[in-house]
Amino acid sequence: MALCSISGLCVKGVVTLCPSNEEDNFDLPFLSDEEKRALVNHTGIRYRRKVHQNERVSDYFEQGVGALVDLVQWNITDVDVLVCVSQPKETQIPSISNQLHGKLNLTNEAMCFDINSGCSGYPYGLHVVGAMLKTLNKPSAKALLCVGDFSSQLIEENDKSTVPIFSDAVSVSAIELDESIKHISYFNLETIGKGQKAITMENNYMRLNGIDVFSYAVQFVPQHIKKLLEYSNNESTLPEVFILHQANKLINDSIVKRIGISEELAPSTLYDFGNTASASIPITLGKFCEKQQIQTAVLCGFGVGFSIGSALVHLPQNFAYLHINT
Amino acid sequence: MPQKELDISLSDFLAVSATELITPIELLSVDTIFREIPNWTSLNALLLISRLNELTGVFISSSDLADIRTLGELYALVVNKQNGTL
Repeated sequence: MALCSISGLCVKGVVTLCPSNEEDNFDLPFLSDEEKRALVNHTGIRYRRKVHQNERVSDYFEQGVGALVDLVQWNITDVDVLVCVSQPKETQIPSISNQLHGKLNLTNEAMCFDINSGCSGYPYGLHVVGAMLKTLNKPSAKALLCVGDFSSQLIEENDKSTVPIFSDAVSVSAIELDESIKHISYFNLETIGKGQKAITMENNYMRLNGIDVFSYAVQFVPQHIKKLLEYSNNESTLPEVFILHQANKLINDSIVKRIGISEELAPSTLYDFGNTASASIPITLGKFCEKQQIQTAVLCGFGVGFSIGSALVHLPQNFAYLHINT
Repeated sequence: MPQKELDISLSDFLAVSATELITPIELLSVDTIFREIPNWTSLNALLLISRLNELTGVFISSSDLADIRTLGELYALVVNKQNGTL
């Protein structure tokens, strides 16, 4: 079931959180000045955010949920589903969502579970919570979708392939089912398991094979997005914006070129935020919506797996966004 | 959609390799062992693979690279993949 649709799904608001601690790729000790210039030029990444080793994704999710329910004026006891999408270094027992449930004031009727997913996690998570809400047969059913990773805790200190790229961030989204909304959200969820070695954990550290990530992303993502547009009958009328996972400039530029859209339709937050894994879509969406009100957006995540997920969503006029530097 | 990719000549291939690996073209030949080029870094290798893809439409994987040693073998790989003989 790669292609599917959900009616009445509404992303009411998003909160993104980054640590205020910022690192500059021009300060990397293990690269020459020439290498640093080439790196920033070709990856598009200048600044990255980095948490302290003892900080936990669940604490950021908790802070994000608190800010989000205020932002969209929800009562936390009305939340029906809580899903956390993350890939922490160690298996979380109990799950991150269960830990959060214990800290927040959700009711015992709230469903809570985690999804182990990386850079494609946002569209996958959006589909999962949407499908869960549909099964409830409840008007205005509500879900919280928490996504993000502290990648700096997964990578080796002097790894030239990962350190200059990955950055720490999380996001929390408020998703509501509103059957009065006529719009339909469309999804395309795919897996190319032959590409599983492109990003792996080896000897307790995350390893990135840049050539394979490039090849799988550029080979499969453009046709994946075209399939979504074709399925939604939206091929001739392009969505207002394409929010791609922020992998790096080289990959994203190649994808944009192959989809055949202008660069302006695919905004980037790479320079200031780096590759924030599954949080990169909500960050880029939110930053874009701070400048321009939009109604339709394609959200496409791709990476570890090799997993690709995309969604064509409609945003409400009162879509709310808040970014927090902790 | 990008335009249909063109065949790449050996001289163009070496010129692209020289540019992306920041190496004088006179130092490169079909016998050059690419991993011994001082500027064969992970980033520059990625840039070369990306540029070759842009020019020819061919995708080179890390396992493709693991099986070959020289620029001549890389050129042959690109041509064979483009011609569908691999």
